[in-house]
Order: sequence, then C-alpha cells, then structure tokens
Amino acid sequence: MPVSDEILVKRSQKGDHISFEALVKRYEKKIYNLAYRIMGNKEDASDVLQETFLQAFKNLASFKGKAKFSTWIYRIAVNICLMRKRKEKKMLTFSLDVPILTKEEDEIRRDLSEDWSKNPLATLENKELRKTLSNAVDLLPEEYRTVFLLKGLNGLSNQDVARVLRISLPAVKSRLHRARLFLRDKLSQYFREYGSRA
Amino acid sequence: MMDFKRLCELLSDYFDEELESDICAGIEELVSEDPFCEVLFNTFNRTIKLCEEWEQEKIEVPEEVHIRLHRFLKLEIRKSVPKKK
Repeated sequence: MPVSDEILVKRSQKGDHISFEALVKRYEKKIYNLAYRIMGNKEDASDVLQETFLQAFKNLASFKGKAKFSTWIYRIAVNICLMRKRKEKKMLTFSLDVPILTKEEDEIRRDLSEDWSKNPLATLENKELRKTLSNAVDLLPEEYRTVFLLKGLNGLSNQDVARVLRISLPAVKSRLHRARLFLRDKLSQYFREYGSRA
Repeated sequence: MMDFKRLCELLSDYFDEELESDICAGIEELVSEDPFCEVLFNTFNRTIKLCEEWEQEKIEVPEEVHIRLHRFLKLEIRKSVPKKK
C-alpha cells in the first residue's frame, strides 16, 4: 500500500529528503500537465514545474496540514502560472460581472439547428475537431480555463477546485458551466462550418 | 417550471449529478418535448465527454525535464542542510 501524502509530508518536514522526493515523483506529471495546459508550451511548463517544487520545498515547514497536500501544491503551481501569465501581459482583463461567455437565449437557439452529438466526426480521432477543442480551451479567459483544467485534468471535486483557487463553490460551478457552454458553442461552430464545406 | 433558459443554467449540474430527482425529471420531460432543448442537451453532453477524453490524455514529462528537476532539487536540498563543523 502506498504511503499517504500526509505521512510523506510529515517525514519531509523532519528532514527526510527521500520522502520529499517521493512527493515530487507522485505529483510531477500532474503539475507538468496542468502547467502545460495553462501556459501552452513545454518550456514554460518545465520552468513552472521546477519553481513549484522549489517553493514547496522552501515552504514545507509552514505547511500545517489543514488542507490536503494536493490542494496546497496545485495552488502553488496555479499561482506561479498565473503570475507568469500576468508578467507576460497575456492576461485578458475582464470582469466577472460581464458574462462574456454567455450568450443570449436567442443566440443559443439560433445555432441549435443541428444535433452533431451523434455525428461520426464528433470524436477526438478527428484531428480537426481535436484542434478546434484545444484552440477553444486556449481562448477561455484564465479564470475559466484554470477551473476547467483543475477539474478535468486532475479530477478534483468542485469543492477542491474552490479550495485551490480560494473562491466560492458557486463561483467554481458558474465558471465551469460557462466554460462548457463556450466550448459547446465552438464545437457547434465547427460542425456548421464543416457542414457548409461538405 | 422548466423552460429553455432554466435548462441552459442547469445543464452542468444535471450532468455532474448534482440535482434533485424532480428537477432532473423536469429537464428530461422538457428535452423529450422540445427539439431545441434536445439538441442543446445532446450537444452539451457530447461536449463534456469530448472534454473529459481530451483532458485524460496525459503528456509525459520529458526525460530531460525530469532529470533536470531532480538534479535541481537535490542541489537545493544539499544547500539547505547545515554543514558539519
């Protein structure tokens, strides 16, 4: 049976570097994937990975274990990603009061002419569709993308996502829902354009 | 009373299985009666499934990144250990 995070953390705090290394091994792939999807390239993802574990190592003594280690380490990684994004001025500014991802009812109804859900091309084996989805995720504002990726990539519950990002549960649910509506819209657009080409 | 607007708001909760059974029944009834709602329901569901598939595709940490990370951390750990006099 694998040793729990909690025990590895306690041992690491007492100076057992092998336990810390075990934590790194356990989380490096998860952190790398999260960073890669947020940052969009391997170089930044690898820098974020290094910085995340450096910060974790330096601050491990102050980790009280009130939150799960996974919540703590994801929070460090997300903060590093977002700080780097802001530094690069790639951050889109928007207000949560402005429903930039939500469409009016009429607009949604207008694109409901085709049910593409059973279209044989509605699969990730379709490279064009995969690219469309990937590009659409990139278009999501950071706040939405981070929620979407934390939930999906790392299988966190909505409550855990809320803890990582220090936002409310309704905010997580709202961002996730808007992100999904936005992605559905982009996929519908793909099928409309594909239909007009076919 | 369930309508198109309410359906738009509740779809995520429905597919995340976070709704009461009477609300789920209301959604299912609306979807079976209104073709627009049915399209939204089906395409939203397919979107979630495609997203899940896309997110499950894990990228391996490149070997050189893995080696560099562990080498770097070993150095940092060594730096943190007080030297014996």
